[in-house]
Amino acid sequence: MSPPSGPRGLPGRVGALLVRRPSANEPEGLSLPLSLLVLLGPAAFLVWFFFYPLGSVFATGVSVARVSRILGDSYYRRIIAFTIEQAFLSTVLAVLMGLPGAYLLARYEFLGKRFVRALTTVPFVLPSIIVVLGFVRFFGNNGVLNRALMAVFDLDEPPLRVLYSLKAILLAHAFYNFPICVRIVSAVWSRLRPSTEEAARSLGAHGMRLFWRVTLPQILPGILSAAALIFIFCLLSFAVVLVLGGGPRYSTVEVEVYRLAKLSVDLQSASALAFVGSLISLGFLYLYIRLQSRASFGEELSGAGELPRLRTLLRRPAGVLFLLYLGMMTLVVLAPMATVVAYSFQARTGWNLRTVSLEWYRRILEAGGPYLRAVLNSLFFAALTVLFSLPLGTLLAYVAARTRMRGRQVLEALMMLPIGISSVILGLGYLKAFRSLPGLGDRLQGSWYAIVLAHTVIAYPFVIRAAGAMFRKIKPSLVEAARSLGAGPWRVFWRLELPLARSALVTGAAFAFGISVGEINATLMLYNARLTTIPVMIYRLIGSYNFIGACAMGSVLMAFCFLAFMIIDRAGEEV
Amino acid sequence: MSPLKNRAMHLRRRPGAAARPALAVLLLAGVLAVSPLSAAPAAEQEPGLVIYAYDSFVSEWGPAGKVVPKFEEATGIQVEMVSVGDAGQVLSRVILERDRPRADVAVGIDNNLLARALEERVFEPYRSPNLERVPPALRFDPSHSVTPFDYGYFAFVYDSQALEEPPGSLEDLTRPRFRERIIVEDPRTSSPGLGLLLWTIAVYGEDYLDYWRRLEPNLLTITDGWDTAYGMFTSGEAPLVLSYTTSPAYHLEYEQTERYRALVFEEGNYLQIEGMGILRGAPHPEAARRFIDFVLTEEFQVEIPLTNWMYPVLPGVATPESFRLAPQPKVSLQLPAGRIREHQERWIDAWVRLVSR
Repeated sequence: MSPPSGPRGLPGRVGALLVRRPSANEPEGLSLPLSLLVLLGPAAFLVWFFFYPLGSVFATGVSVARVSRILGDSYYRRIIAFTIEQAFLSTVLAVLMGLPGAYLLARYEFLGKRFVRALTTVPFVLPSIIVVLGFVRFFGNNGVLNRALMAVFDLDEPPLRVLYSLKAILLAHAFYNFPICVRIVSAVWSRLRPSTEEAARSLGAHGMRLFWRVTLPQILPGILSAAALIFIFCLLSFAVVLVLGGGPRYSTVEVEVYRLAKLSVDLQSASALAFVGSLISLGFLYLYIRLQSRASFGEELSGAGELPRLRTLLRRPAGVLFLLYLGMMTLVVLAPMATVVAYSFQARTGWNLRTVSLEWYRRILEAGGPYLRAVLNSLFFAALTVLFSLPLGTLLAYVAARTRMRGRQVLEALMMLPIGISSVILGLGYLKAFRSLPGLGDRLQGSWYAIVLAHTVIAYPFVIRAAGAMFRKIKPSLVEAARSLGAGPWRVFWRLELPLARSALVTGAAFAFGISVGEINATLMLYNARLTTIPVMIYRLIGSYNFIGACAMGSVLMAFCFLAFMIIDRAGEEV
Repeated sequence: MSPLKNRAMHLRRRPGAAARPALAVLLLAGVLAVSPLSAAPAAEQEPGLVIYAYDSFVSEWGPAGKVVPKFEEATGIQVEMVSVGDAGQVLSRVILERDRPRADVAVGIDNNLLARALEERVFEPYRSPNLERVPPALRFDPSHSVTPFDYGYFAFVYDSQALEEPPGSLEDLTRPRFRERIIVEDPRTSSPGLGLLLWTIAVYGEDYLDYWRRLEPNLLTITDGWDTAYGMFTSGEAPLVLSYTTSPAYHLEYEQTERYRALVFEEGNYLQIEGMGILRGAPHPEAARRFIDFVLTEEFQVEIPLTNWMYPVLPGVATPESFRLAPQPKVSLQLPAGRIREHQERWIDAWVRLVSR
C-alpha cells in the first residue's frame, strides 16, 4: 500500500485537522489581569487550606541534610524506584482496561447505560481494606474462585496463585482506577463530532487504522488526563501494595511516611520524606501537563447525537471482543465487589456455621443509630464537597486552559498537587497550621466545615482534570464566532463553553463525591466523635473484630455511591 | 447552515439554560437538610475535661462509652472524648500541640511508645494514690508521667479447623510444614507487627535477623495492619496469624465458637502495657488527676476486658467467662523502653532490608 498523501498520512481535510498548530490551539486567551482577578479567590483558598498547612509541616523537618540523607540511601532509592515502576505499570493496565468501556459508553446506546456507568464508578470509592478483603475472598487461596476450581477439577491445591505478587498489585490498582479512565475518556469521546470519523472512513481509513490515526489523537488529552490521575493515585497507594504484594518486598514511599509519622512519631523525617515524595508527584504532574498541552488541539465538539444500539455491535465480529471484555470485567471488577456484599449477609454463630442474616442491615438502618448517622454525615460532606470543588476546579481549569503566561505549566502542576500529597501529611498539616491560630484553630478542629474543606482540597484536582481535558478541545473559532456575534466573555463561558464541558463536569462531580465519601486519613485527623463517616465506621468495626459488619457498611457505601452517581448523571443532563 | 450558526441558534433556543443549574443546587440543598448541623447540639456545654484517645477506645464498642458516663456521674465533670486515629497518632498529636495543649489526658502510650513520650516531655508526672494497688511489674514508668491502665500479650492465633498440630514455639513456626501458612503485620505500620519484631529480639537478641531469615518462607504475606491480617485469617486464607492472647475470647463471647485458639510459646509471649498521662499545661489539671485516680478503680477496670480486649491492671478484678480462652503466657517478655528507643530504627531498617531482598 502506498503511503497516502497529506500530513500525518491522511489526505485532505481530516489530515489538516490533525496538524498540530500549538499557536492556534487555544482560543483567544484571557487577558492576564482578568485571569489573575478570577484566580484571586481560588488562590486564596488554596494557600490558606493547602499550601500553608503543607508548608508548616515541611517547615518542621525539611532540610538539605535530611533530604540528601534520604536520596543517598540505597534502600530509599530502591523504594522510590519501585513506587514509580508499579505506578507506571498499574496505570498502563488501568487505562487498557478502561478504554473499551469508555468506547462502549461513548459510542453505543443500551438499556441501563446510566446504571452501568454508575456501577463501574463504584470501585473508586472503596476503602482499601474492603478492596483487599474482596480480592482475598474471591481470588485468595481459600477464595471463591479457587474453591470452585478445586471442586470442579477435583484438585487438592488451589490452582490459581494470583495474590501475593506484583500481578495482584496491578490487578487491584486497575480495579480501583479504571473508572477514572472510563469516565474521563468517555466524556471526551462522546463529544467528538462523528463527521470527522465519517470523513476519514469515506477516505478509506478503517478499523485500527481509523482508531490510531483519527480517533486516538482526538481522545488523547482525555487519556492523558486519566493516566495522570491514575498514576498519582498509584504512587500514593500502600495497603494494596503491601498486602496483595505479599509484604515488604514491595513497599512504596507512602509506607515509610506512614511508619515515620505514626509509629516512630518522627515527624521531621516523615515530612522530609513526604517532601521528596511531593517533588516526585510534582515532577510527574509537570511532565504530564507538558505532554498534554502538546497533544491537545482544539476542534469542534458536538452535543450527544443519536447513537447506535449496542445490539448492532453483537452482530459484528467485534462482538466477540466485546463479550470477552464483559467477561473479564465481571471477573475482575464485579466479582470482588459481589463477594464483599455476599459476605455482609453472613453471620457467624457456633463452630463455623454461617447463616444468611440481615442482622447488620437492620442495625445500620436503625433510625437514630450511629450507623445511619455515619451514612448521613458522609452524604452531607460529599454533597458539600461537590458544591465547593465543582466551581473551584472548573474555574481553575478554565483559567489554565485559556491563559497564556510564562510558567503556566508549573502553576498548573501546583494546582494538581493536593492529590499527590500523602493525606497523613496533609492531616498533620491541618493540625499544625490551625493550632497556631488562636481562636480560629479551636473552632475549626473537629468542626464539620474543616472536614468539608479538607475533602474539597483533595477532590478539586479531579474536576480540573476532567474539565481541563474538555476546555482544551473547544475549537477557537467556535469561541471567536460567538464573540463576533456579540457575546461577551462571560456569556461565551456560560452559554457555550460550560455546556460543551457538561459531561466532563458530571465526571468531575462524580469523582469529587467519590473522593469525599471514601476519604479516611484527613477525616480521622480532623473529626470528632460526633462526625463519624462511613469509612471511619468501617475502620472502627474492623478494629473490634466486626468484619461482617464492616462488609455490610462497605455494601451500604457502594449502594449510596451508586445512587449518588446516578443522580449526578441525571442532574448533569438537566443542567 | 454552518455548524457554528447551528450551535448559536441552538443556544438561543434555550433561554432557560442558564437557570437550570438551580435544579442541581436544589438537589444538593435536599442533602443539606440531612446535615449533621440539624442534629448537632445547639450549644455544647463547656467540657471540664478533654481526653485524646485512639479510635477503638472511643468507638461504639470501646471502653469510653461505658466508663465516661460513670466518671461524669461520680464527679459531675463533663468529659469530651476526642478520637485521634491510632496510638501513634495520639502521641504525634500531643507533640504537635505541646505549646498550647487542648487536651488534658492522652490515652494509648504503650511500652513501645513510652521512651519517645518521655523524651518529648509532653506529660506532667502524677503519682495516683491508687497506683499502690497495681503490681510493680506493670508500673512501667518510674517517672509516673504515664500511668498504666491495662495490659495484654501478643500471640499467634490459629484456626483449629485448618491446623491439627499447632506450633509450640517461635522456633516451631519456622518448620517447613507451615510454609506460606502464617500472616504477620509489618513493624513499620502496625503495633502488633512492631511487637513481634521486639519479641524476636527479646528471644534471639542480635541474632533475630537469622530467625526472620528462617521464618520468611512461611509467611504468606505481611500486612499493613492488624485489621487486614485478622480479616484474611478469618477468611481462611491462612491458619496462623499474629494477634493477641485475648482474640479467641472475642469469638467465644460473640460467636459462641472455640474454633480459634491463641498459642502460648515456649520462649514466652511479648507483653504490651497501655498507659495514659496528663499533659503539661493541661487546661483542667485537677479534673485530669481525678480521672487518672478513677481509671485505677474497679469501676473502670471491670469494663476493660470486653471493650478493649486487654487485662485490667488491678489484681482481683474479675474477667468474663469467655476469657478462659485467653491463655496465660509461660513467660512474659519485654524489652527496656530505653533500649527500644535507642535501637528501634536500626532494628526495623535491618529487618526491612532482610525481608525486602
